[in-house]
Amino acid sequence: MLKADQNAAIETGRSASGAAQLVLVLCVAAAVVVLAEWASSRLLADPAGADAPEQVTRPSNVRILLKDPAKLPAPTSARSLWLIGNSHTYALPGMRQGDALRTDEAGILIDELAGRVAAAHTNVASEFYLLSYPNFLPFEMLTRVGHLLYHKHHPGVVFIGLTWRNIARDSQLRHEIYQAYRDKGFAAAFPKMLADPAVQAPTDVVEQVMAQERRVEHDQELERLRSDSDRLDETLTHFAEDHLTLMGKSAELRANIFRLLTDRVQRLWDDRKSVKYSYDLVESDYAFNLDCLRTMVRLLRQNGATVFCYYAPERTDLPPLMDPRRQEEFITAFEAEAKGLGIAVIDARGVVPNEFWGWVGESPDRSHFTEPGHQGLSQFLLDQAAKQPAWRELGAP
Amino acid sequence: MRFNSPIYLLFLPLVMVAVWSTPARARRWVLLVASYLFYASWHWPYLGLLAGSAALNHWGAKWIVAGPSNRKWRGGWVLAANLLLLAIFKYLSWLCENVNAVGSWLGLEPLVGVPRWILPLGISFYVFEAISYTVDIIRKRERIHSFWDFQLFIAFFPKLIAGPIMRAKELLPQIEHPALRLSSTSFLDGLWMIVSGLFLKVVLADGIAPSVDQAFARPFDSVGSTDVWLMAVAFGLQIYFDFSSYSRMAIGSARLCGIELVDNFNYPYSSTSPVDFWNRWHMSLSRWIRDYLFFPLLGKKATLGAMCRAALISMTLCGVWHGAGWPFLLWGLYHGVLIAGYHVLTYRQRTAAPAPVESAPRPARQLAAMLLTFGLVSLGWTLFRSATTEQALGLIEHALMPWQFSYRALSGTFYMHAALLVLAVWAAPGAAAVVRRLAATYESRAAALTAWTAQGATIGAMLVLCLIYLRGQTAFIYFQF
Repeated sequence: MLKADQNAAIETGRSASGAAQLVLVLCVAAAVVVLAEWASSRLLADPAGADAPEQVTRPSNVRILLKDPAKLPAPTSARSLWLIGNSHTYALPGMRQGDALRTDEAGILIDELAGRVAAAHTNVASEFYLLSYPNFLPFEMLTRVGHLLYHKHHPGVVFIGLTWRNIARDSQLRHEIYQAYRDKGFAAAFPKMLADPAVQAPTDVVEQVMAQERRVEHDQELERLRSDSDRLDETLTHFAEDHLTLMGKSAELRANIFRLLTDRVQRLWDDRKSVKYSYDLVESDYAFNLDCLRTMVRLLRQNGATVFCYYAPERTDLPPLMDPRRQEEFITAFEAEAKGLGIAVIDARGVVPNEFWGWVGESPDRSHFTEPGHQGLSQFLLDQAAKQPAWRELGAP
Repeated sequence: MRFNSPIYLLFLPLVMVAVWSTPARARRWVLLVASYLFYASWHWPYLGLLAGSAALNHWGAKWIVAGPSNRKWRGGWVLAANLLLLAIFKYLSWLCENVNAVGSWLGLEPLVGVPRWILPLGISFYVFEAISYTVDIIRKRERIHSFWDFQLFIAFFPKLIAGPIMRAKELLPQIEHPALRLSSTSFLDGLWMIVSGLFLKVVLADGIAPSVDQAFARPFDSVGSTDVWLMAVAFGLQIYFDFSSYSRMAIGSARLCGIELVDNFNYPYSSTSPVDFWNRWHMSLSRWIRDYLFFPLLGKKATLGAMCRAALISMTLCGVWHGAGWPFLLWGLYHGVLIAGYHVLTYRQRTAAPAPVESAPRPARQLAAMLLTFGLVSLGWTLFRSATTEQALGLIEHALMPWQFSYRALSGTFYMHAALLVLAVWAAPGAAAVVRRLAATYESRAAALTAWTAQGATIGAMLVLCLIYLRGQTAFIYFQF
């Protein structure tokens, strides 16, 4: 009897202790969530007036082309000047290093400060298209060009910026990019454009397009299989995003956490002295990128454009990130091929002096210039273009 | 309805309230209705398949018991019906594709049409549970239960889609004799399992998934040897976090409903041999394979040859169970070879020598064995994750020939991410032991309060990270099996 009472007392004690534990644990957990929500809403609060759209003063004939096919400008009968390249070329000419980038509706980084484009450089009667994104790879460029041509845009003069690292190795998933600006008509027309005898797209390029198409079909099939419960989930998630900063601004929070955890370590990794070159040339990527580049040039030439390819400027005060010997081999081979492709190749590697390159935090920037750097590169390229008859056809002085 | 979806986080508390506000005898009905709703929310026509499969096995068991002299023969028919169900819904498309591929190789037009129906969620899991029940009935180790209890055994929602694979003797007694109340400790344990599972899925598994997908989407000849090892290790981590998170959330959800499920993982990447790995990885499937395939194949005399043969056959079938495709088959065969190799290397030591004197494990040897096992298991994941046999073999070739594929194509961030996760996974058993020791030793009220506060803060922090990292409802990898 005594034993039973003791056991009952122990059990009651345990139960009381368990209840106290439960209450305390739940209260602390809830407090942590509430605190984090409050802190994130303070941390990410928009400063007063930030909601107002930034005033962008851009010449009326300058177009930044988003990847969303619905946002293409209406084509005109006049020929246009196209600038295609990597992030270092964005808003060429006249950009300042450090100018803010912001995310457009399609989730793509573009530079809205293209209004700084020097008026003299845009003094062409026709449209001035800027297609420049970070890590813009030849396959994306090709698809983008094909897409514009399919929608009846007429390139007159085209500059293609070649960044060695993006030629020598792939660095990002193509599918997301491909999917972003693919539409139904273009999906059917693009393989036919590539099959044109004047374009002669190599097999690996055609296969890549078909592979991307298969993935799009797969994604559409998954979309078809979505259940009502999935749709309800989506509604609930949107509701939570609207009411919780932790969810509504999760992309910014994730970016902050990522930077906090990896940025410095990543720089250490990239700038290690023990590694001769931080990035290796990947043979299959290199061959594929060159095939895409050739196909794109043929496609543009077939549509009557004068095409310039230029090697993007490089810093000379830092050790190269990639093997320069292979780069020289590429340049020699590409220049030998350029005549057959009917294009002019411009070496702009030394055009921007080291003092006109920017900084990323405390590290020297290997990709972007200061404003005088941009001015220098654009002036150099436009001087080259001015020698061409096609330039005058654009209505330039 | 996925465990990482908002709708489930509403569904579960509602089920809990309904379960605990219902008399114990009627609770099974609440759970059965909830389980049917859970399954129907995905694709309601297949609810009939689920209920039909359970009914087939229930009546099949009755038929077997009714004819004691024909037990094996009748059992064979019931097992064949289960396998036929699996074959039709899971393997028929693959079979037709292979027939057409052979035809195409011979220069023929496609010989058969390929069925394109949706794979019923969880079919591999619930069919295996049904098979184990039928085999136990044949072996006279199980009895006939009520029709609706058996329906709930098959359909119980926390384990329905991706296990753990339960035995009738483990689950049915809990359904027939439900717990009287939910203690605060059980509630807290269940909550902990769910939140920590959600963290593993949303933050860790989904965090590394984009890099893994991106790497495996590349042509295999564009990645170097170290890249392949990275991809293998990273996918190994992804699938571990993904699947163990599902298991944790299943166990936690079931516990909140007063049902205990079996564990599925026990720090598998700390294993020191392939056999040890399978004793720690997807444990509910491993023991199913062991009891219903390996031991019957082994027979009564455990010779080395019989062990190797049984390992090869059972692991190859285990691979095919995971998915209809040659890479899965190769993955299973690969593990069969690893286990058979392990038996060959240790057979003499285990059978000839007298019982060894217990000696302290040698840390260096243990560490070497762990690293070797980790490397071999990781290499196997490239087979599992590859879309085609060509990609799988190409990646393996690259991994094993570092002198020929010495370049590095994947980003430093990806390397760093995977390295941090590997270190965390290896540190986890030690950290868990320390926490357990600390929890067992606190005596004072103040120490208990500190421990509980820390537990609450950990749960809160994990929830915060889950909210930040929740990016849509990503599927669990094992849903496709």
